[in-house]
Amino acid sequence: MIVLDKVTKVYKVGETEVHALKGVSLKVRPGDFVFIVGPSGSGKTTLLEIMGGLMTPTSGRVLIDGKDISKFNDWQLSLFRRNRIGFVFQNFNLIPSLTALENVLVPMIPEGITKSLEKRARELLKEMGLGHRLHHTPGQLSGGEKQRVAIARALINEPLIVLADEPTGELDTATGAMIMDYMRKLNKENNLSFVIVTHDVEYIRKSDKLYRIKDGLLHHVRRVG
Amino acid sequence: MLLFAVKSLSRNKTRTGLTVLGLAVAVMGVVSLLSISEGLRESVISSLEKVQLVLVTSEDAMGPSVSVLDESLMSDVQRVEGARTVAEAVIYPVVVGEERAVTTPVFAMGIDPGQDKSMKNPVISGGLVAGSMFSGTSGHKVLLSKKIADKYKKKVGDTITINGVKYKVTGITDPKISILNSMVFVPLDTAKQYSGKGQDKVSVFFVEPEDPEQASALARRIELSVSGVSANTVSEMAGTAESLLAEIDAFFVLISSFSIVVGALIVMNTLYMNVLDRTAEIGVLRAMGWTKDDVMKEVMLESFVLGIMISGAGIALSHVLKYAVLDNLLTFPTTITPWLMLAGFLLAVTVSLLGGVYPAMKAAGVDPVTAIRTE
Repeated sequence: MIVLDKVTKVYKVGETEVHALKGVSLKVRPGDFVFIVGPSGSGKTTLLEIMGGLMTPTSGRVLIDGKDISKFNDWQLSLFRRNRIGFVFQNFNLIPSLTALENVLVPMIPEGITKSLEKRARELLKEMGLGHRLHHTPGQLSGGEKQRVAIARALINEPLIVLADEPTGELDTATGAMIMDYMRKLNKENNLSFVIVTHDVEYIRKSDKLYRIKDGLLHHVRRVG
Repeated sequence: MLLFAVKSLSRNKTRTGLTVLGLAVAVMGVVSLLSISEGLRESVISSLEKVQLVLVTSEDAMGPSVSVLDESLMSDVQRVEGARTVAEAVIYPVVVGEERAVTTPVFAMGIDPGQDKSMKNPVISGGLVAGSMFSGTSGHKVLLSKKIADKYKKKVGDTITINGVKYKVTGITDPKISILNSMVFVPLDTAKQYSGKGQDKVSVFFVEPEDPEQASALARRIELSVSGVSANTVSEMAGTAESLLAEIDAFFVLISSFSIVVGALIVMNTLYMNVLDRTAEIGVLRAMGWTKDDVMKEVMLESFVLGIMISGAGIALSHVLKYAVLDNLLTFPTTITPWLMLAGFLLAVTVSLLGGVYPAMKAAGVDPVTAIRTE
C-alpha cells in the first residue's frame, strides 16, 4: 500500500516560493485504479513524482508498504524506482536507437539481462499485441504502439504500482481509449495498482477512485465499485 | 550495458567516426615515431655491437662525415701497440641518380681496396654479394651497397650517376656494419678529388685490433698516442647511439604527450556532446531506476569502447604508414613490435577513459525530474 501523509512541496523559482502541494494525503491500495485530474500547473505531476520517488517532499511522509521513502537517499530512491515503480510518460520516452525489445529491457540493464528477463520482455510485448514488432525501433512504430512498448517497459520489473503521467496525451481518441483499456485490463488481471494523471476527462469513468487536484490541494471526487 | 554503450555511440556515426579517425591518426603518429626509433635501434645498434673495430675521427668532429684528418697521422696510428691494420676512408654526401630532390641522404666513401683487403675481416669487400671490388685508387668505378643497388635497380656492369658523373658498377656489397648499408664506395683518390677535403686529408681511419677483446684499450691508446684524434670502438659507438636514441625516445614521448592531451580533449568533446544530446534520455534512465553510478559506468564504457575502436584504427593506420611510406622513405626498416602495439592500445584506451571522466560526471549529475520535464 502507498500512503501519502500531509505531503507538501515547495519550489523556489528565483526569490519566489511556489507551493506545488499543500498537505496532500492519499492512500493507494493494491489493485486500485486511481485517476487524478486537474488543470496544468495544479501539482499533479509533482504528486506523481513524489509517489514514484523521483523527488522528496518538503514535509510529510510517503509510506510504501510501511517504509518512509521521503527519508531515502538518491541511491536508495534509484533502487526503489528500479524494483517497485513502473513509469509511463506522455511522450513515451523510448530510446530511438534501441528496438522495442531492448527498450523494454532498459530499466534492468544495470542488473544484467538474463534469459528469463528477456523471455519476460518478449511475453509482455506479445501481451500488448506487439509480438511482430519486437525488433522494430521507435521510429518504425505508431504512437499507440510506442505507448504499449512504454507500458511493457513499466512492467518489466514487476512493479508494485504503475504511475502514468498523461499517458494518452500524445494519442488520438481511439488509440488513447485502447491504451486505457490495456491498463485497465492489466489492473484487473494482475491486481496491479495504477495511478493515472490526466487532464482528459474522457476516460475518468474507467477509474475506481477519482481525485481532482487544484492549487496544490487534492479532493476526493468519487469511488466507483 | 556494453551493447547499450555501443548503440549509444552508433547513434551519431559521423561524430563517432571523426573522433575515432582523429585519434587514430594521433595514435598512428606515436606508434610510427616509436617504430622509427625501434627500427634504428635494431638495425644500427645490433650490427654495431657485433663488429670489433676502432674508428678514428678528428677530435672536434660531430660525426665521421664531417671529420677531417691529416693523412700523415695514419702511420702514427699504425704504430700504436695492438693495432693490426689501418684503413683510411673519405666520407662525403652525394646525389645519386638524376633526381634533383634528395629524399634520402646518401654518403659516398672513398677507400683503398688494398687496405680493405689487408684486413683480417675486410669491412667493405667482406660483404661482397656480386661482382668484385674495384682495383686501384682512382677512376670512375663504384661498389654499391645492396640497398642502393636495389633502390636504383643497378647490377654489376651498369653505370650509375653520382654527383652528375657516371660511374661503372664493379660489385655489390652488404657490409656487416649497417651504417655502411646505404653508402656507395669509390676509389680513395676519386673521393679526395670530389669531396673537397683536400689531397692529403681523409675522414676516418678504420683500425683493426690484434686482439678483438682489446679493441677498447686500443682506442684509449690511440687517443693518448696521437694528438687531435678521437678513437672509439664500434661497440662504444653503439652505446653513444643508444643514449642518443634514448634522447630521441624522450623527445618522441614529449610529442606524444601533446597528442594525448589533444586526444583526451577530442574524446571529452564527443562524449560531452553525446551526453548533452541525451540529457532527457539519461533523465528517463534515472527515473527508471538507474543509479548515478550506473549512468557514470555507462558513459565510461562508451569511452572505453571508443578507445578500443581508436586503438584498432590507429594500429592499422601505423601499419599502412610503415609499408606505404616509411619503409620506402627510410634506409632502415621501421619495426612495430607487439609491445609497441600494446603501448598504442593502452595509450588509446587511457586517453579515451581520461576524456570520458568529465562527461560521465556530467551525465551522472542529470536531474531526472528536470530532464523529463524539459523533454
